[in-house]
Amino acid sequence: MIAAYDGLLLLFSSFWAVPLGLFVGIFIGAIPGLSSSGMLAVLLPVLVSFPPEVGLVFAISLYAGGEVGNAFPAIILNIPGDAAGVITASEGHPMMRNGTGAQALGMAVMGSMLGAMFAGAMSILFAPILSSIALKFSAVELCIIILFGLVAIAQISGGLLKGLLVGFLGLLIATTGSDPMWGTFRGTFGSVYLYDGVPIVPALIGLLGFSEVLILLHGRLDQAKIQTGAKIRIRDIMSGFVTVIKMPFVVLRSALTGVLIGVIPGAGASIASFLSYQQAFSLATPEQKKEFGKGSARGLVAGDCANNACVGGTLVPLLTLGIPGSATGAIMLVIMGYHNLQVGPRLFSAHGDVAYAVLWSQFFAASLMCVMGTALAWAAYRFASIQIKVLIPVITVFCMLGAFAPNQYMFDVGLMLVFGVIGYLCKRHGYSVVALLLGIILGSMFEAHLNRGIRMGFGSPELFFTRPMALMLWALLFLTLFSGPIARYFKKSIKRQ
Amino acid sequence: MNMKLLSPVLLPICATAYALYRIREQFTGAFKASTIWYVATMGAIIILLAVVTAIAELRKTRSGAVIAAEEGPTEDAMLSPLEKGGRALFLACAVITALLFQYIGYIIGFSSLLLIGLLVLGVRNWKTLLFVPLSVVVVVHYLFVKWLSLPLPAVAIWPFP
Repeated sequence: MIAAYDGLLLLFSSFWAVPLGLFVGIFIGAIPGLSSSGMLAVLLPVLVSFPPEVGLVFAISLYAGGEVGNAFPAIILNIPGDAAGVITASEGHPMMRNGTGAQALGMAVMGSMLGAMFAGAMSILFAPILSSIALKFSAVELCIIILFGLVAIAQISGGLLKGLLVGFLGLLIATTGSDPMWGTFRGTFGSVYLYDGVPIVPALIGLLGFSEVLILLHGRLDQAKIQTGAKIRIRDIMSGFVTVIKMPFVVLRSALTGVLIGVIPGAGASIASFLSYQQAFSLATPEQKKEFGKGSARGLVAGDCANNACVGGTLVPLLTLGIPGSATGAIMLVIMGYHNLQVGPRLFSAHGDVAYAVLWSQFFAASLMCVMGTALAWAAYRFASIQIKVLIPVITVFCMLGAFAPNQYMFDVGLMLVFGVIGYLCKRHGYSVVALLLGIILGSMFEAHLNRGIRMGFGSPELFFTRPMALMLWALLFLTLFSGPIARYFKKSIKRQ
Repeated sequence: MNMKLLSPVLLPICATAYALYRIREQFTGAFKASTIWYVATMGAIIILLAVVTAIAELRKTRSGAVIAAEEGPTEDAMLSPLEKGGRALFLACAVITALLFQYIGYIIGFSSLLLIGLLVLGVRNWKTLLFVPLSVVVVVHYLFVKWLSLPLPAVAIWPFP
């Protein structure tokens, strides 16, 4: 407890790093193709020159800010900054088109804030327990967790043929590149640019962003995305806050999911948001289910809340075990190593004040997230009042930039255009773009963990059904899938009696 | 086969062709036996789903019961040939910019794409035509290239540091 108090005092001396990191994070997160980890890597020489607590607090604030900033272009322009923003785009952008974009932005900001707060509390109170849970997850359990996200393919497409077709197509596209077990190259069409697989960011910018440009080109161009005369009021963003507060169970469930997924090394925010979305869908009433994919507040909050809760979760294995759960975690590990901090279980005994300062900073980052997020959302919403004919060329340029930024290959820009055409065809003929993206994003991880799990069982899939944690996850998957229909069946039968 | 009939089944056809290519490659390439089954299974499921989807789509189209997707082009038919031509020209410009980007650099590439794009999409206000390309190029230069060190292809025509 003394270390926790010392950590709080230490944080006050380096408090300036929180708003600065958060602002840079929100800004970077709002630019498609740029990631918080990439930005931190650029800033690493500067960060190591500061005292360790400043560098670490700045890094975690930037990471948290990036997850909020990601929501703005996703909701306003349908261009998510990274894979974790796909759910935000698929639920937030339809709200934007329906005229409730300000509320969607408010929901994203409040959902993110509550998720970050919950993760902060969990990581301070239960870090040792959570880290012991993290060690129980092997490739087998991770494979089942990813399966939760993949099940969403069937759910969001209503189990229809079209949804399943594009979902499996996504899974097949995800097998492009080197084989996860043997390293042989597959489906590359002889191109060296595909040896590392289909790049996710150009694919999602093409499927969601550039396809939107192609769709817009079919309509009237002298309009704005929102009515030009419509006032952009803070009150509308606030009403989004209220909507989130009115769904405490969705927030709690999503935040808990985010923390647990964040704790597992290598899982990441995209799995957290997809899993949380799948749960939100599974546990929704039939009326609420109809809204999913067309601007569901529950879906939006579930995705954003889990996204940000995941940030706090990734700190747990990093600080307690010395295992970085994400690219940002790896950079934080470098900062700790540079300052000769005892990385691993002894960090809390040797440098408890630094570890607690990082954990406490999440609360301040979350509180500031609300203020900064609202101000930036208000500013960002103004983009939507620009005429479409002006917006189209600008979006196209930023789609190209976003596709180029992660790998700096012009090939990726071409790939983005190809995926834009695929996305356009999908949207025009009623195929679920999100199902395709789910397959592409989760496919490679699923295949890798599936193969590893089978190798762990010496060629037998037995481990998937014998490990206690795996059995628990199967039960949970079964419950989320069938609890709704079973409960409804029993309700009907009771009514009949 | 006309375009109205082909368009809804284009995706299943492409998906089938891609799945067939991947399955063929998996069995003819130098792959380890343990990895063949995954791609082959995915490919087989896709072919099955694509065939069923294509048949269902063709039936729908023939019976005239095609329901336009929610985000589909509702005002497409109302566009004049000039408007359609302008939009096609803009897309062609985007593709040409992507192809020539390496050689013309981001300043010429982006400013010309924006200027031509705005013109062909019907913007006639000279302030917009001047301000939008200039501001975007300035933002890209100072934010992405200078501050974030993004190595965009460039030719040395930028007069400022």
